[in-house]
Amino acid sequence: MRSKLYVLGMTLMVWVHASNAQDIEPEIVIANPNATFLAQQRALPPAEVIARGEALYQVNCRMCHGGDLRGGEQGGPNLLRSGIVLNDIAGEVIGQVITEGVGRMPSFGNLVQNDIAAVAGFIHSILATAERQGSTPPVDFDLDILVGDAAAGERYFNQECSSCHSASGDLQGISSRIIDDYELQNAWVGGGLRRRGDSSGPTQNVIVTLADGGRVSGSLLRYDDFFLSLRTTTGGYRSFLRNGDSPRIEIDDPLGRHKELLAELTNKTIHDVTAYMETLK
Amino acid sequence: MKNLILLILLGCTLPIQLLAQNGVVVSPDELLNDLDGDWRSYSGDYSGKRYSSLTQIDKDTVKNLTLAWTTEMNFTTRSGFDPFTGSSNIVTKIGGEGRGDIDITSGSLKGSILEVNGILYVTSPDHAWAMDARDGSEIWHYHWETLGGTHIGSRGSAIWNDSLLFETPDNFLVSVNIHTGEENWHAEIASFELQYFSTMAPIVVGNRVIVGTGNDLDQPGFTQAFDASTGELLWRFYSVPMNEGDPGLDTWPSLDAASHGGGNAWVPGVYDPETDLYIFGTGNPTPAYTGVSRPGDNLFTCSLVAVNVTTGEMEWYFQTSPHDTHDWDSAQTPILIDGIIDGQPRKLVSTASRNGYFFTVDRVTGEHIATNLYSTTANWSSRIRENGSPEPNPIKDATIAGSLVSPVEGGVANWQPPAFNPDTGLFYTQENNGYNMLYLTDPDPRGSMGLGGKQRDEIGDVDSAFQAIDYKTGKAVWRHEWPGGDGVAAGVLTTASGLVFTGDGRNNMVAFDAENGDLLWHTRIGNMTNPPQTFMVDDRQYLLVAVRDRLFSFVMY
Ligand code: HEC
Ligand code: HEC
Repeated sequence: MRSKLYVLGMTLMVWVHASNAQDIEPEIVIANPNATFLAQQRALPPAEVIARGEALYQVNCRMCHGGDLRGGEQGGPNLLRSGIVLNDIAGEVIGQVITEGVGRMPSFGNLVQNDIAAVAGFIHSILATAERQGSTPPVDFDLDILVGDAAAGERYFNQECSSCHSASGDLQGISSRIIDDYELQNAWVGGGLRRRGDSSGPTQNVIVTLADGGRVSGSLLRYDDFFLSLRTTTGGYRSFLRNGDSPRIEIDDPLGRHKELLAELTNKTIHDVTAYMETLK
Repeated sequence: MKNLILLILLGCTLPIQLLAQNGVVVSPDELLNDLDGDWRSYSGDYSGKRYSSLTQIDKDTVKNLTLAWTTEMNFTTRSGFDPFTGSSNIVTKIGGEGRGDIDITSGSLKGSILEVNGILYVTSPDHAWAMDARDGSEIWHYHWETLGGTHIGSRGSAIWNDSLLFETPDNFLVSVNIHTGEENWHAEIASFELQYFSTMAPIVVGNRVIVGTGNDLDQPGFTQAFDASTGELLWRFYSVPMNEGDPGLDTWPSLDAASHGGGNAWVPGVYDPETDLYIFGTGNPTPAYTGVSRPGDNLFTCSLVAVNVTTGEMEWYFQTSPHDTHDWDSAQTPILIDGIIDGQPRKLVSTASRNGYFFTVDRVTGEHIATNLYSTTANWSSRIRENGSPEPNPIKDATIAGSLVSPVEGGVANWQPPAFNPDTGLFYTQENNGYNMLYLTDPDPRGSMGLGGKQRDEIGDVDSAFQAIDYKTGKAVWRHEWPGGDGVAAGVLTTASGLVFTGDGRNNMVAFDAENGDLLWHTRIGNMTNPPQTFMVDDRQYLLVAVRDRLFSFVMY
């Protein structure tokens, strides 16, 4: 285990230029002790150093390692998951690769120690934008999920959905109510249930038949193998212990068909129906 | 005044503590015993069966189980008796390479607890405790000052003679004196800079400790053996090819992809003393959801792997998920089964995989015996290959416009261990069903990294179940559907008295009749966060389980 010298302080922003010799440990400045992984806990060099590092990277490294550091056209590997980069603190490990080259990567005699620390600082500044351990710096692609055929979706809707829904009735304006395309698609595929265990679904009616033949009905609150509770039509609360089939219970799940649909729907049908739902403004 | 009381107190307890400071608690030989009155290792014994020979709690008496004690774990660092607060005489033993300024308390107990001679050994990330199994009182507390990182859980500890061994989230293997909690040594097992994190319960075999680690940033997975007395590294087995010429490299597009290909082994495996094989499941390939950057089967990720414990060499493998693209690792603890196939006695190993398939293979050769889908919803495979591996269906990969995929990320099964009862010949596992809409958010042909590049939304609510599976075919002999939708994740315990204990995902711990799935008992203590366990103290059989940071211990009087 290498021993490292820590300097602690949220506001203290000391940056010690590192030597590129591996045996000299850079001083580690902890800027955020609450961050989850070390690279995120550490302070970054000042903004102007990072900016200079970025400029040097663009000229010297980008063509091989890519503008986003994830690998480039001329065959350099992804630097964001590189062991050499992750093990580096202030250029002391990256610097060795830069000055000596490795494999198909040439050496860079033109970059002096300050340049190396700046390039390393730039690379670390990109890594630090990862939200948490194991995640990647954010990407932002403009993606369109509305790739389906709305006419085919409408035909499917008329066959499979119109027994319960109507475009001019309950689903009128659905795409104005649910603006986000992802949420719109999730909402209809899940029958409105956005996640498992979601209790926001439609009321399930339950009828409980007691041993003496008496019946209690209402909307289901919760049940498992040993218990059932319900709200009666007059607003009262009732609960029952369950033991096998006693008392007998009948539950009407309005989302029963939606659950079956999950096993039947193809991606194409999903995209077509979503394209159709999008037209219901 | 305060010090005086402390001194008197120390004076009273010191001789007893000194007496108790030596002595073997579990020798490596005793680890070869089947699971009986003590729970000596992660699965209770090497086989992974979680089949206890205890019979005091049986089909008739189980209804008499009652709470012996319950206690919340104490994570606070303590410095001894305080007459003003009346706190106990516990002095927390401190270790760790951190600066002591990071406090990541991840409260839930998510691993096996060990029990030997009436003493419990409990772990959670950065903490270990010894506790009295009779009443839950604390005997010692150890706290590791962390460097930080993912604190997702601790799966438990291991005993080697008189030391207790466990992993820390920032990748150290720690050995403490089992009588006092005083640290013997600690050894770095993986690089925290490379964003590894460690959760596995170590497995002791002879004088070796086998450890695994986790990683979510495309670093290669490996399993290692350390010397149990010194912490010296003996061998390291990588789950993926790391050098030109390594086996499996032809199932990756490049060495760069392979050596960043994951396969982290983060759940304890099982050990077969006859063949000296440690058999375990490897993690998923990385980047997890963007398989575009790693065409091929991606060996030896998502595989059952058998490694010789003396040499660290792989003897055989069986891939349970070729080219996984859904984070469904195959790390689940497998189970060694001495069974009968076509009238012939066979040495087998079975696993209920996170991907929804059940597998049985020959544990000496790796020869495939059975594959069967044990989920009513899993929809990602198009067919079973001739060799028994399910073929992934590429239309179930994340797509920009969305793919409807089952199971959910957590899988049909996860680290929560299954059980096998040799009397019924049945393998008991949860069947956790569910659907995702899976969207590709990073369509870059180079692929993303780690778990990135996707948006994953769980939708709908389908039924989950508990299954008793015939190991010969993988088919359910009985299946109990959990009422009321929602998922379930709970480990399993079975006993020689024909019981199966597990959780129902609806806040109950339940007991089934192992033969037919009749429900015999339940108690509503909250959803269990670790697998149920049983042991004998003072001729009384205890049933122990954790719900978050609280232990519940049941007995019959
Ligand atoms: C001509 C293409 C090229 C250029 C320009 C280039 N590299 Fe590289 N780089 C590579 C290749 C190829 C490798 C992989 C070498 C090997 O292991 O065979 C590499 C490897 C690396 C590594 C080690 C990655 C690892 O984990 O193995 C680092 C760090 C690195 N380069 C940084 C830089 C920096 C910083 C610059 C700019 C100063 C730069 N490279 C410029 C091609 C290039
Ligand atoms: C057997 C009846 C039935 C069928 C058939 C059916 N649904 Fe539904 N659907 C429901 C119920 C019930 C709900 C829940 C309504 C509520 O929460 O009040 C629902 C909810 C929805 C919602 C969410 C409405 C909202 O406002 O959030 C959408 C969208 C939807 N369904 C679309 C469809 C589509 C498209 C189909 C055909 C592929 C379909 N449904 C088939 C019964 C049905």
